[in-house]
Amino acid sequence: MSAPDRNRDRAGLLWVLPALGFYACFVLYPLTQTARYSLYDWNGIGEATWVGLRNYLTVLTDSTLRDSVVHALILIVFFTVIPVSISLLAVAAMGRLRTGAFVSAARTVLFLPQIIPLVGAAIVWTWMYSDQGAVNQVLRAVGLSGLARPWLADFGTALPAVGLIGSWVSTGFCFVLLMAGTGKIDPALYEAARLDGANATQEFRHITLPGLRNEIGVAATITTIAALSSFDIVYVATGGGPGFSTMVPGVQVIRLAFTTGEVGLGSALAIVLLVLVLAVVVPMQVFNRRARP
Amino acid sequence: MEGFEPMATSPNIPRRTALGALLALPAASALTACGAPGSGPATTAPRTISTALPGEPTTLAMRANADQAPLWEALGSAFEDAYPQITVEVVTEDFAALQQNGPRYLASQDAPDLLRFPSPGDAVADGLLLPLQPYAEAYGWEDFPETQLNQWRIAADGHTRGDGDLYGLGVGFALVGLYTNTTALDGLGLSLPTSLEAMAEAMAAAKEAGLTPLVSSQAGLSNLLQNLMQATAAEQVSDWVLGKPGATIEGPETEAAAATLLDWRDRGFLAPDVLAVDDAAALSAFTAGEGLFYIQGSWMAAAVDQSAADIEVRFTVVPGTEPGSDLTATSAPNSFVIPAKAEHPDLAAAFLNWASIDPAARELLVATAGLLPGGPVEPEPVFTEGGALADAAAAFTEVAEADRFVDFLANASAGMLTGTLQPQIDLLIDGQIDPAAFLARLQEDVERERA
Repeated sequence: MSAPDRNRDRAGLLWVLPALGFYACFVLYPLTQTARYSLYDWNGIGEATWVGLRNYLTVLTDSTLRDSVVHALILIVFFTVIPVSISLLAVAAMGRLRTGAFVSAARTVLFLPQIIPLVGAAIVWTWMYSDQGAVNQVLRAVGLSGLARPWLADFGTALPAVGLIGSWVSTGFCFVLLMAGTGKIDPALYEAARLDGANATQEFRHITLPGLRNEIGVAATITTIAALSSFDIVYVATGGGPGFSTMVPGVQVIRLAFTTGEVGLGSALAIVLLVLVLAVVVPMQVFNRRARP
Repeated sequence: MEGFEPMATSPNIPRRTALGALLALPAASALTACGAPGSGPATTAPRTISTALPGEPTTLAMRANADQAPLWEALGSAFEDAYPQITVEVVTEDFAALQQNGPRYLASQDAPDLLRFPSPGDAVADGLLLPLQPYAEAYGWEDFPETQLNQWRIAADGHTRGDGDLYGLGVGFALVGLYTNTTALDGLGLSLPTSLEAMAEAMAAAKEAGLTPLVSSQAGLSNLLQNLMQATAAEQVSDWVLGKPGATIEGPETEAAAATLLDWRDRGFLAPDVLAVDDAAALSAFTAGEGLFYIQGSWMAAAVDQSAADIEVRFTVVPGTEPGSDLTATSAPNSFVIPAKAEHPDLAAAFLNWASIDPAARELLVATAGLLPGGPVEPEPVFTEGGALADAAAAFTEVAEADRFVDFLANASAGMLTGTLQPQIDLLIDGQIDPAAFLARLQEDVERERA
């Protein structure tokens, strides 16, 4: 490495220093504190007692805490798999008509949920899912009153119902990301395929899908993190109920640390959640980078 | 989109070492601060108290729950009217947030003089609360009905409630009871039930007549269950809530009470979607005349009187196992504590005393919030007309004279309501756990939280 290179790197470091300072202060330092608290039995105010790894043992053996991690994994289907699939279909459907009033209207409709605060989205959906809400009204209007139920208060439907709120929110984000990605696929590829007699399905499989690999990777990573660390939607819509059927680690951490005064146990669960997020997301990143042409 | 890659790392070495240095910085500071977090109770020198109000202008800082803000404001300005040199500064916030932040306000350097604080938790053990015992003796609070005070009597261990020094005082009480749609009851040719059995018979008749026999919200179910328990095991329930040594919620009586709740569910006495019913929906179903009974606190009495246009409503204590058995009522006050770090503890205590015994303050509790004044039985609040609120006041006076209040199951620990009671009741009503397992989980969670 030559001297001018090193100077340029130093200048670059100077530029990122303020941001890194904030990052260290508000993310890295609290992280070390969370790890430290997780080794104590502490109510947040009084004297703390060293308990070693006992809190971690509780997280792994307590069935309620373990189930909350399972619920977060199930939410990946709703926050990631469904939105990415819908967005791919929408992008493929609109691929042939790049412009026009219909496309911009569809783009706006799909993206709108993304600009609504999650708490607002959850409140609106709570109304729609209620016994007399829009969902049941529609079911009753089309003669399916047998299916009508209080969706968020039913043990069987609460978790999927909460998950679908997440799908609704995530789809807009995934769609815009993928739509932008299609812009950089060379139109000549489509033209060549068409000349070779490829149909819409073949075009999608052999041109659109490979061309969007990076964007799909980014969308999947970000929405998976959102699923695993979900808090707002669940906290507002169900608070984890009925029973513990929609409890997720994000809500449980807050409840343990601030309601029941078990800061140590809450911190241990937060660290387990962090490890879980890394364990799911890092392999996705590695896979995405390896598969890159 | 090439640049948009979270988690991407570049092979640029200087950046890595810089990042490493930044990572090491907090890690090092964490190591140096590696002692146990938090601190033990500070030792405070004994102080002398005064019941005299300050002569110079003084501000009383009070922090309370926002849902009752009009009451706290009204009490504050009435106190200012009575003592012009005093300014009462009322700050309110959402109840759940206040409950979570309470210990932090107590521990903070600018603690308020008076804090609305629902349940002691660890606050006494952590030395955050001012003992009110000297004030109780100076002001004569010791003569109040004991079951109004025992929720805030805490033993020397800092946790066991029921006996010991006083650490908090209630301003305005409410009790859980049974609202009866007497218009429907008369239609069925029945009179107010005086036993649980008579109540079940009336509910069966109401079911036949197409009414919801017992209107309840999801949140109301724990109050219903607690009243069924109190009919046979009031002392056991009370001891458990107060955390007396060796107390348990498990036992044949409480198990039978939970079984009765399930029996009522099976006989169709509860709405089939009761787990989805919130307080507002239950209130409107009952006041619209759709039900016969309604289990709810007296804090809803004013709302019931206001919205029940077409039906007559009475409020009674939930009946016992047989006519004439001792009545108990689930009741808790709006508890206030004085932080150990309060700037004006004497003034705060004077305010609590005034709010309990001054006739104008007692009137305000009833008129502004539909709450029942605690403290001395006299003077009784005056009601211009009948209705559920007047019934509730009469029921409160009756139970106060017999001194048979029981604190809410929800107050057994800070996390009991949201972390245990509500989800476990869902599981019980949905048939996923049986009464014995339900009680075992309540016991288990309380033991874990108190450990």
